[in-house]
Amino acid sequence: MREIFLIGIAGALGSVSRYWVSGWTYQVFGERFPYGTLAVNLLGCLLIGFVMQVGLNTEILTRTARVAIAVGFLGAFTTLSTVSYETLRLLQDGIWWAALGNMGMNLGIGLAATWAGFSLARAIIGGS
Amino acid sequence: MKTLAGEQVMMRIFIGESDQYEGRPLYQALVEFFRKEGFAGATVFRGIMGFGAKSRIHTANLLRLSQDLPIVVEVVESQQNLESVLPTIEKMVAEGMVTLEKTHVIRYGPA
Repeated sequence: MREIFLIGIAGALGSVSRYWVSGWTYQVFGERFPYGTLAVNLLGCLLIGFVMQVGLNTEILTRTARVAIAVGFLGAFTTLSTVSYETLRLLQDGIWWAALGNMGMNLGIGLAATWAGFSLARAIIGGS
Repeated sequence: MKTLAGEQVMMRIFIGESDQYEGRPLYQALVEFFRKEGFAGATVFRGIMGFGAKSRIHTANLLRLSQDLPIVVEVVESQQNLESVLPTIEKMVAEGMVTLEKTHVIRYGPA
């Protein structure tokens, strides 16, 4: 029960953080492409690789903390549904290259970011 | 039934989706007000993209920026009737733009 409560709190923080980070990203990079969604997803992917490597190979994070961060915070911080919606809007507007790019970057660079987070953590704390 | 023909005036009110008046959406309050005044009609349009005085882009294409899309309320009436409600409209529309333009009604009402 306590764990679900913590996941909920972390999730609330994650979604609010997404709101602020994506909003800031649009202010800096403009609105011609879903930069805000891409930013939170790439950052979230980087962080989940890092957190899971640390959480599964050290005692730095308790199991509860690992779950709260990975499932709660990062689960709410990142978003596939928004990628899906914004890609569909690009397709509806006929900007197919941007739609493909959006899906590709979120998935491809996201995967690379997760690997980068994982590798960075492994470089710092070791582990398998 | 009210008739509307010939030279009239169109009022356009540009506001935001999230604008409120006395606890309800402003666009709803405006339509209800025009109806109460016995106007011929009013129509609300939701814009898919726009920016206003604060130069902040709102667009349905990006979820984060879609929370306050532009709304336009259009009403066609006589100049006299529109001028009579302008003080109330100015009080209700705290933020936004109100325009008036001449228009020619060639048809109004059912067949």
